[in-house]
Amino acid sequence: MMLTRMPVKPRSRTRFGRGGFIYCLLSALILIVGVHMQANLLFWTFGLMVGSMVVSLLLPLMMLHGISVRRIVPEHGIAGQMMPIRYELVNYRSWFASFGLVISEGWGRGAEGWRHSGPVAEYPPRLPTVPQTWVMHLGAGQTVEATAPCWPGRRGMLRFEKVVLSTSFPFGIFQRVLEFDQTDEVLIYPRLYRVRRTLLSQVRDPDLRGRQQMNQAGGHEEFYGLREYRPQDSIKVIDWRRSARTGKFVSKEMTRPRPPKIMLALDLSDRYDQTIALAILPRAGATGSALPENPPTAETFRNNGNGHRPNYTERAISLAASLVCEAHHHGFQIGLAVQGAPCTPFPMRYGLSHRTKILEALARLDVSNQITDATPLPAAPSVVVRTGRGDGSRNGAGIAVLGAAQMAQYVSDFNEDAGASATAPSKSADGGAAP
Amino acid sequence: MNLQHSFRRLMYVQVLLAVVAFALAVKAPGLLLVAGGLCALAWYIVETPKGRPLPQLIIVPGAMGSFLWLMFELFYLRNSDVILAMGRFTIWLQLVMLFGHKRVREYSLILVLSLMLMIAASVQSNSMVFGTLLVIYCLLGMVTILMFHLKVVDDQMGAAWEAAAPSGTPPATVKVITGPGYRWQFRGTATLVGIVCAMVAAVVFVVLPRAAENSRQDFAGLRFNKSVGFSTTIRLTGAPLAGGSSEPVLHVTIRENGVPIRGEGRSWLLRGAALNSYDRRNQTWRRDDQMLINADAVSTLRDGAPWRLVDVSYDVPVWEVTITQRLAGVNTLFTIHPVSQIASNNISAPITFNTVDQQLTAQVLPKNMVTYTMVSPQSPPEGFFSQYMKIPQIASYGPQGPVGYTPRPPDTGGRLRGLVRAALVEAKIPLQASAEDRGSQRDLRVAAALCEYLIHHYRYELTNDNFGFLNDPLETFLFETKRGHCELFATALVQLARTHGLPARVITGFRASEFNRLGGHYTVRQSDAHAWAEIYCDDAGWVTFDPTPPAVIAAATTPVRTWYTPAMEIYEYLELAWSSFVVGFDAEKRAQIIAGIQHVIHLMLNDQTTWMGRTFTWIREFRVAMDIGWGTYSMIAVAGVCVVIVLVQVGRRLCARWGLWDRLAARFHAIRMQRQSGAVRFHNAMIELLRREGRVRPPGQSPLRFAVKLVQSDPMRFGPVVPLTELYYEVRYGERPLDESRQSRADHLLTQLEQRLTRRE
Repeated sequence: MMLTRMPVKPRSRTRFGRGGFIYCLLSALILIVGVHMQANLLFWTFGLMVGSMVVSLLLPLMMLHGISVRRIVPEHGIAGQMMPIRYELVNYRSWFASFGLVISEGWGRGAEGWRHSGPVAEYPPRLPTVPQTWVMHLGAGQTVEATAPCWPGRRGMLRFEKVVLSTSFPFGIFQRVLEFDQTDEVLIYPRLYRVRRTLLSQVRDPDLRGRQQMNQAGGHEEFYGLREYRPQDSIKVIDWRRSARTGKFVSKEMTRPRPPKIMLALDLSDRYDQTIALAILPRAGATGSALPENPPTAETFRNNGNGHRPNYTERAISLAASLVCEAHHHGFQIGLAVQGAPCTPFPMRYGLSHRTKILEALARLDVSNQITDATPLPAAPSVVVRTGRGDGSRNGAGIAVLGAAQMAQYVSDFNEDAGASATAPSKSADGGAAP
Repeated sequence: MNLQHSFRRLMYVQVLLAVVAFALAVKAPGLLLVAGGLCALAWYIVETPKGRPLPQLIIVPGAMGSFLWLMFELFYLRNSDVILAMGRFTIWLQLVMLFGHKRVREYSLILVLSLMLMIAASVQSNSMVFGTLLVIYCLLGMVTILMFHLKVVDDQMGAAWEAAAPSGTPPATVKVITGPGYRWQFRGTATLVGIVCAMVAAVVFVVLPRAAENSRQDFAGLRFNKSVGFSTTIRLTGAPLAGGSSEPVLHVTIRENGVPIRGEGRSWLLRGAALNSYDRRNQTWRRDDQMLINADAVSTLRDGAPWRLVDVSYDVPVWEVTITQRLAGVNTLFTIHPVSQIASNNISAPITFNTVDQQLTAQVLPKNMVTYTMVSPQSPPEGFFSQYMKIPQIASYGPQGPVGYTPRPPDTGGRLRGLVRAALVEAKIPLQASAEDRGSQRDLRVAAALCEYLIHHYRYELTNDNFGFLNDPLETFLFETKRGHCELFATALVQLARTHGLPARVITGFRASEFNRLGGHYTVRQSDAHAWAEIYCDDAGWVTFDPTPPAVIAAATTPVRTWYTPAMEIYEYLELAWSSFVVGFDAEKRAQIIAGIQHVIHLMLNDQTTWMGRTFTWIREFRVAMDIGWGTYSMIAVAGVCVVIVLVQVGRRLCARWGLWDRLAARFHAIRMQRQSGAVRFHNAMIELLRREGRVRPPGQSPLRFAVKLVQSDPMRFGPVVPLTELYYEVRYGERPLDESRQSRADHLLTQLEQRLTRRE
């Protein structure tokens, strides 16, 4: 491919690099000593340091001239799992290589964003740190690809605004920075856990009528009907007696087995009450639904235990997403209904696209608004995942109730800190203003 | 590229280089041995595959110990130079840190300490060997810093990735991403950086102002303070002058009537100080000012204009002597006797010429290297010396005779007179002067006879005998040992001449005999210090006599040419250039360079044969024609430049909007491709021939594969296709030139192919 011109002109600036100020002070010191002693070798040394400054100012200008960066993001990410962001760097120059190129992400500074009309920065950031990577060498006319790993902390839509390309090669005295406007969005699925093996069998939809086969042909279970022989049919399915009678080959059709089903109900309607209650119940020694005499305040809610707020709503969503993935993996038909948050219900189906749609719905679930009861739970769900406590066994209606407060009972890789850190405000490398 | 390992290697080499340079600068081989050994040990202990850094429990006390030793050295011992003590402290601190665990901060600190060590060494030494080490250090340091920069980015990236990974998750490994050809491109970039740095450094070095008086060059004194053999006093019982080291102190270029003398095997006496008084108690020769009439003429040499001591016109052959003097602490200017004029452009202080001593001295001690040129007649014409008296400043004193040069030495038992008598008898000179054998001619013959007597009856040795407390060294030399060094020979001749009644004096200076063929100059070392005598004759003035046996001293001072002599000559030539243009760069040289650049620019701007000169002339004439002032003219010029810039920017944007650049690029690309196809025109001709045969290469087939298939189908007809295709590959992809041989081969193959295809038809 012939590289001709850069597609977009980026915004650029030059600033002092790390140690640039100290370097200037050291140069001034050498100059003072040289002038005081009239030592020519010190004048030479000072000249070399000035030369280094000049080179450090000019070389990054040349090295970042004619370089373009394009961000390539994946279709989705999973909270708590590594998500690679790829950057394609193109050097459009016909000569002169670039060295020490650092690529990072940039967002707004402050609530107004880096542009006056830009999006409002979100807090806490969805990414704990700024994704960054580096390319040591990019030759003239070359294209390289670098990958920056990042670990999204929360589900939802992760927005990228601009790619920041910088270099302070060769001496680090000055740093040249280019900012490329490129907006991308990546949907982050809820945190996925490894569901315990026995849980699926416990929560699957029990067919109370005892039917295990579908009333459809195409399987190997029981006799369904007859049809004409087709060239691809196995000789095992030929009904020889009927064929001899009719003089034509006739094949038997067998029924298909009925796949297991899970109708998942995610109940977020009591997310505030349950979260508060569960946060203080262990300390109060209470059990069941009894609330303590002194209701907790918002302050006690934030500072219980280890200082982090266990977000049972997010845990419940993660548990639901984990169940969906595990059920899909084992061939279950899955359906989803959400109560307490706006979400379109999904009927029970099997398929990768269906699973993806459910995960996307769970990822986009907005739990920041008021509780809505517009969507009632289905009449007969297989399992209800709620923000409070559950018993894990079926109740009288044959519905399993799973509680987000007992995640460790349902998943094998649950980490209390990981769930907490997903919502805890942590340091963001660019001023904590990641969307 | 293994960044970490490459950087560590470079850093160790840099630290070691700084230690070597510092040890060389302060002349401390023990320090070099110990520090170098510890550096190697640190590499073995820490950096080898099985190596591990020492714990902080050892490193921290080590660093504290270095600091305490520095305090002890500075405030308790008080016998050490601050810079030396700081340099040693820097070395120990670096070595201690080399043994410990190093992160980016420690590496930075080690590099900064190494740089500071080199700065301290730069203050201590200006020798060319150190300068060479400094240059190597700068080059190595540049590469090290470049590597260090990349390593720091790599480390920071690893730390950022590690911090970003959730707890319990293994962080991703940072991969160093490089494109093809990064090694040579890195070297090229480093070379470019080095060249630009050196150019900027040269400009800064020249532009930075220098002190006019060099009053703060005390450290230059430390650098140039070589223990020279030359002295303005001679102590006969002391070490001989010629026993000094071999450090060059003078570089003498001699021209004979404008033609440089490149002769070897010749020697020249460079006259320094004239000593008239001998103190028997101290056995010391010195210049006794009380015995001399004030006969000093003072002048300041400016801008190379000569100071004519003898303003006479004569048509005698002359020596033009240029001397570069590197003797700090000595204000004597060396001459070839007798001197008629002197010029210099880097002696700022006034200089004095004593008409009696015929000696030049600078009134202020030169702190730096000085260069001066003098003219001396090969044989002084008659009345030459009397012209000295016509110098306006001392004309009022009247003619100066050899006052103070005639005291007869004490002659116990008349032994000196006996020696004079023996010398005259041996030279067959009558003891009593006859009526017709009086005057300067007889004096000259007597002086020569005395000189010859010493030459033939005494032996030259540099070893100084133990003369004893009460013994006079001269008497011991003349009557007992009959061997000695040049000071004893000169003293003996002077005392013998004075015994005979001739005014005489001892001269100290140098004997130049070592010729550097590369530089075209004589190199004078401190071991070339010499002493001889001058005897006054009425008509001839002061005549030089060297009583030291010439063959022996020539053998002792003239170096034997060996296989490494050219290398030594090159080294000393470079060392002189280093001292002249780097170390000895001063305000005068700076002014000269700037004036030279201004002159070149002036020439360029006024040269009507170049476009630049014509343009500037037009600009000047335009202003005159428009009859406007410089202020208005400048404003118009600035406005014009702004308009041009705006027009260019607008034009650029319009071209970009209309896609003109893209079209131009495409056009150039097409032209290039066309030229390329012209280079492989024979291949196109072959394709055309095959096309006529109905053979067209399918789209997915390479040309060579297509050719092979053709030959397999019909070898007799398509035989030349394969070699033609291979030739095409060579030219098109192998970047081989389509030279004459390849072109003729292609033509031959094409003709063959055409004939075979035609024959079939």
